[in-house]
Amino acid sequence: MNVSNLREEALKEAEAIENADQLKSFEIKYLGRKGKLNDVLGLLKTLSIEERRELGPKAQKLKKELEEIVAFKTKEVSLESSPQIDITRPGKKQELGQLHPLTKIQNEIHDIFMAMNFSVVDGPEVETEHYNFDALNIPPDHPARDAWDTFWIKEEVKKIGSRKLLRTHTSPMQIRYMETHEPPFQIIVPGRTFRYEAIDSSHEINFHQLEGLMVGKNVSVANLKYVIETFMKKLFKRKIEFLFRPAYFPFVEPGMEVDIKLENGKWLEMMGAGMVHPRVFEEAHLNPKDYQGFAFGMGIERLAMIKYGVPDIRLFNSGDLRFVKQFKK
Amino acid sequence: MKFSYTLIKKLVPAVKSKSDLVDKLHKYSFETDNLEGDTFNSEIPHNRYSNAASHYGVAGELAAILNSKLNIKENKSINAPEKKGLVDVKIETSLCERYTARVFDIPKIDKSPVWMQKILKDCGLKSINAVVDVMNYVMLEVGQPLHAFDYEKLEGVGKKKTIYVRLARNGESFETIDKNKFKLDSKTIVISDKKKALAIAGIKGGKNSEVEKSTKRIIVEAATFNAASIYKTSKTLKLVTDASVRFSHGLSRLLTEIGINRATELLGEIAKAKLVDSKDVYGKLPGKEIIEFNVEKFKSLSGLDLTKPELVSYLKRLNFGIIDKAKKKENFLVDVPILRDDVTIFEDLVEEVVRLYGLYRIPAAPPISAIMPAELEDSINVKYKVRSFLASAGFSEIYNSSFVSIGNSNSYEIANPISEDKKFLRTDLLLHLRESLGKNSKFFENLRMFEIGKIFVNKKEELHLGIVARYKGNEPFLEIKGVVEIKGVVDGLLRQSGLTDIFMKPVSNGLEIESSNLNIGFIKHLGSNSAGCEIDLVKLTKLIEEEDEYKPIPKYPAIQRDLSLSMERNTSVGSVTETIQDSKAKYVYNVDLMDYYDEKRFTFRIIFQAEDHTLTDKEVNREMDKIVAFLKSKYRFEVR
Repeated sequence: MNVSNLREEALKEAEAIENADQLKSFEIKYLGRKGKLNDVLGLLKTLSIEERRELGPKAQKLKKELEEIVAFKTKEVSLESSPQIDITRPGKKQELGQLHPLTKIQNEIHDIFMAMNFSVVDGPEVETEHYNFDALNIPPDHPARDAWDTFWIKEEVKKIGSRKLLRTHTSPMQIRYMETHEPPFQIIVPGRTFRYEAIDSSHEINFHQLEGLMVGKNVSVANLKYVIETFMKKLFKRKIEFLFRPAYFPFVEPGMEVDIKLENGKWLEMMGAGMVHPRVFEEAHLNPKDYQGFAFGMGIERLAMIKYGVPDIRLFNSGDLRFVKQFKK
Repeated sequence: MKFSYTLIKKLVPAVKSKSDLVDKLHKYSFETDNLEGDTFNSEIPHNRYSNAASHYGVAGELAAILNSKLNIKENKSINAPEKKGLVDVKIETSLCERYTARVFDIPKIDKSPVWMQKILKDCGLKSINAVVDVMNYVMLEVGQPLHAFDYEKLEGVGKKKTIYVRLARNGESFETIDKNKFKLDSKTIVISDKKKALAIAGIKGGKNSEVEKSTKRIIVEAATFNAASIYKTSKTLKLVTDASVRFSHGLSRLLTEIGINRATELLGEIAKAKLVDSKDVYGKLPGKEIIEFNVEKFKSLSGLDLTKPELVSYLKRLNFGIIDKAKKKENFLVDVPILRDDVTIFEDLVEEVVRLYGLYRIPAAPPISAIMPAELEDSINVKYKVRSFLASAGFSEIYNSSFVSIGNSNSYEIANPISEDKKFLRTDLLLHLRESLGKNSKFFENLRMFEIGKIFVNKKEELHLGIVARYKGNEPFLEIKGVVEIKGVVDGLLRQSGLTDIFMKPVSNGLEIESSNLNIGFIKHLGSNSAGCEIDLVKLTKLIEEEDEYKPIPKYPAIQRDLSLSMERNTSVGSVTETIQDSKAKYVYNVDLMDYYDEKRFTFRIIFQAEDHTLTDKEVNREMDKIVAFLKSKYRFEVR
């Protein structure tokens, strides 16, 4: 008589049990009055004392083991078929929080640029005239400055240059970053910016910009085009037609604007860009003979408006949950 | 700036069609769009008013783009009579850089010819009479603003009239040609005779010297003024004219010559005007700019592989002179035309070439650079983490305005607010978040929201997190539900961020959140079943820089005991919890509130664990007794 064989057979069978009927016949087959285990135990009497000593404990152990299995399986089987549990009841509702669409798009932007080895940097929203204008080669008392309608901070009269303002673009971070970092590097700077202008469906007085800056020994216009095109294609997840055309920004030379063709066939201006102006390098205490690089700046709301089809820029700062909750992904 | 297609087509006959012109200028020069009729609009770059804010300038661009000839006659130099005793010019301020005056006798002032009227109209200007129209037309054509005075209306000694360019007296009053009255200050440049101001220089002429039908003799002015001065005056007086816009950008002193010669020509043709005297006062004219063109550097900067002859040919099309005498043989020198005062450094020349080549045609190429780890700045990283935690916990994110209507002595105040309710920068996030609770409560039963953003206190900016919650319904303890929820979420957030010693100190109407003895924010009961919290994320970031560290997993089982107490009404759960922790009972691993039945009945769960052995019931009972005894020494209660 082989207890091990019996054990193996029983365990294998136990594993296949799926319902109460199977469990019942299993129990009768092995543990029942006329079951296989009792057969074995009955046989014990016919054996010698030595054999009994060897086989007896093994059989008892198996009995205990099988009883445990039956108890366990009983629970399992009853859970599955228990009539009190209505498994069709709705699940406990999990309140879902949504992130703001500008957060979502910024996260996506960060991921795309991080994958291209750009670091993500933050900067102050209250700036000085020096960083916002002077150091960026935007001359005082010149109409060029009118392109950036400015909110000024009320303060005791201060030296020209140290006057405080709400940054009108994220470009001041070009200077701040270059002052403290030795090239080569590549960064993006997302952040809130401010313009003094009438609010309407496409203008906000506080909005968000994305600045890009890459500086090295051989960074070129061709590289600028590659980075911008790659970014746009990844963000909008489609092929895009671009138009790079000349434009004037005092802090880049050559300067350009980048238009993209929307799905409705219309061209839309997306950003200003260009090669960092030598005077900007000088302002940041870098020698323009040693370095060259590109910079670009674009509105994040505009990207989001295109990507998600948002028709009115004012929705972003409305604090309206009905708006935010639409952006589930 | 508006332009006439007819005039451009005359200057550059190679232009095929208006739409082709618009397309070409847009792609190769500056933003340009098509308008109705004969008009198109170009955004003239701020640094190109000397050479592009004119039909000559735009025609020059097109001739370069199309690589064709420009149909502009060389100005046959006009022999202007001088010192005929009719006019003199005295410049009394350095803010006038050049002043050219010419005196004309005019038999009769009629209307200007129809073709000229049409071009003026297409460019948005009204036709007045032949003299004024020629002034405006020349401005459109060459870019130099001109002004004509009625000679007889000027004060003079005998026949001679002297024009003074001077600063206005403080409070000097002036009436413009369109009868608007201004009080001037001593920073304003005026054109004047012996007695009175005749014009606000570079901006607008005066009623007192207006050219009329009956005028027989005129003085035509072509001048250059300090750009910043005109810009500031125009802003101060809120008076913007075609002339002021041009002068504000800075105009080359060479333009006065070109302008007044063209005006002399046209006045002769159209009004049979005869030039009888002239005066030209100027300092040194701008010198020629010679720039070395570094061919290698061009390739590296543009990523475009053009040969020296190709580069030369692009620059020649734009009228740059080429001198093949650079120190390095592969380079060359570029002679910049005087009117191209926007071109002062090598990079400016790079721009000229790449735009004429076509920026859009430059092939994109991936940058080649050493790989260094890209990094997220701490403040950006913490935003990521907090946002994803809160969204998972059922809180939605909103963005609010940085502006608020009220401030205090520590607030940043806006010097030029756009409206009364946006006079200050926000000093916290809760102000707008509370408003958002109100606005959204119409649409949602329960509200859970947060915002992350900069706030401004004590003239500094901080990165804050604000959380609010509001509940509706009939549940018990709804009033406190917000506080309890936010407290739980904040605790979870801080623990997930890696903070271990989180302490919430009760203060009036809320809790202060402390960790490592640093106050990082607060939770506040906001009334009407709402609560809010505000946390300084930069302080939080500073606290979480430590690494996780492995601690041995406990070897011996924990034993838990529940302690249900019936206390006096309004005993604080926080203080009872602390008392239990302070009771000196051994093996206490954790104390937590299990059930809050009402204001006086709570159940605590206390977990006991020993590091070196399995605790027995007897041991735990002994410690429980200690806890109850210690509590008895502080509170009156019954164990339920």
